Amino acid sequence: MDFDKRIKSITGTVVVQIEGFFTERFINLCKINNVKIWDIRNIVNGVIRFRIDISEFKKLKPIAKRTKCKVTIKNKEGLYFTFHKYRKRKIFALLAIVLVIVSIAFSTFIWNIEVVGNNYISNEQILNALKESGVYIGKNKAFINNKAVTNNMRVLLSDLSWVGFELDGTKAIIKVVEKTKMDEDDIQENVNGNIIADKSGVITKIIPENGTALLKEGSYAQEGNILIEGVIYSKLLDPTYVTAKGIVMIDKKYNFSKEYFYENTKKEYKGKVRYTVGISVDSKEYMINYLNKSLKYDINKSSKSFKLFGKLISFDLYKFSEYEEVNYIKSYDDIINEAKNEAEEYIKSEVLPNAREAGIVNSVLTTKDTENGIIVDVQYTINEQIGKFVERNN
Amino acid sequence: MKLNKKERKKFCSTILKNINVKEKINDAKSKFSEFLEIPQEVVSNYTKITCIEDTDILIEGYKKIVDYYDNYIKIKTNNLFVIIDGSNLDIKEITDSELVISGNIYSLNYKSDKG
Repeated sequence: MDFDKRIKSITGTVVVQIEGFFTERFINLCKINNVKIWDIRNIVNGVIRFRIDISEFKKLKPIAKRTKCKVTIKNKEGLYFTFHKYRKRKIFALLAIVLVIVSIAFSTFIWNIEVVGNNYISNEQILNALKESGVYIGKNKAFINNKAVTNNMRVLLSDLSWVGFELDGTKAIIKVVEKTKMDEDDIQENVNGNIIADKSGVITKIIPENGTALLKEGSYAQEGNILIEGVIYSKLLDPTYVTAKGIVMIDKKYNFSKEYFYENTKKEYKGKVRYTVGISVDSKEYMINYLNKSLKYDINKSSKSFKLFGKLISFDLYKFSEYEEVNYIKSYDDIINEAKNEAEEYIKSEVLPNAREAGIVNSVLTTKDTENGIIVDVQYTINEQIGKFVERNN
Repeated sequence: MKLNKKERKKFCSTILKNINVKEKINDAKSKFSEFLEIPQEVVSNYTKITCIEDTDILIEGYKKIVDYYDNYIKIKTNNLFVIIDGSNLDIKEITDSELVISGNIYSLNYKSDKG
């Protein structure tokens, strides 16, 4: 009943006020004549208000006549009245209909493709294979056969062990499971081969577990040289080919060099902040620029992005903090300290993460004076493990 | 002795009154409902009143609204008068058999139909 009432209030209801001596009789007569009224409220004695469906409003007339009550409409609600109000705005209605049709039509195309589950096969490869299978941005969803697409994908990309294709609204989701490849340890277990140097440096330790060491401690290993050969030589027997295994440690030198100036500029913020908005399409930025060109600003950008037709579109909010450049002079000690910190940072962030079992042996700092500053050169010696297993060709 | 139509009707009604037919029928109905474990208001035309705290009252099986004011509503049911005192009393819904009253309800009184 409540649902029915709500549906009626969407289509059209009126709030009616009844004035007279026999309002109770009016309500009773409504009940007898099957006129459905609700939300009856007594305003003052002899005046009541209630809601009624527009289709039943005409039935009130004979009841009002019998009870000698005065009927007035106080409020009109519902779609019927809104349509009636805007009945002359035909173009508006037409545009609304066109908008609905266009949105329905556009929703039948693929607007976006999402690739899930790939690790070593690139997105581009998968998207190209999808395109060949007949799925691309702008393709109508109605002409896509999911089974045919997945079969074709598996034929085109042999490295995939499973392919799933589904459409979620205007987005096509391609889920893939790649074939597992043997990692280095597995290959090393099963194939004969050598260990070669993947970095150059002076060998500090070489322990061949299996195979023969070709270089000794203290010698220089060039990148690509064979460190441990996967062959065991014997005076009595013929050479036996094995899987080379072992540990090779080298000392490698890394340089950090940078020129520092005594005269420097620093930013002094004035506290004035300005905001603007913009839109960027594939890293091309378009923003509302009303800034004073003679002043300098620090730009802080925060954006929300989404993919549409294969292009990355993002709405950006820019925050400009106004600053002035102030000159100041750095002392020699300050420069050295700064250089040390930066060199340490460089070693920690870029060198050590890329090296195995690495540790800093020593560091040497040298300086060279130039016209306006000094060049600081920091040489780090890092002890690290090297060696890459390479399968024997013959 | 021949009786005319009016006299015959009167004679019948006096006999019916004397043997309490109505009461006996009601009694039989209540016994029947008790035996079959059916709610009484289904078998006989009793009124069912449901209260939700002091805000809503649902009356099932009413006959008509006798008085309707902002602070007082009197409703005639099959065997009783139901008198509701309160403030801001609205009739939320009204159908053939059901009536929902909402507002601040102070008291709910019954008055016998007979006197």
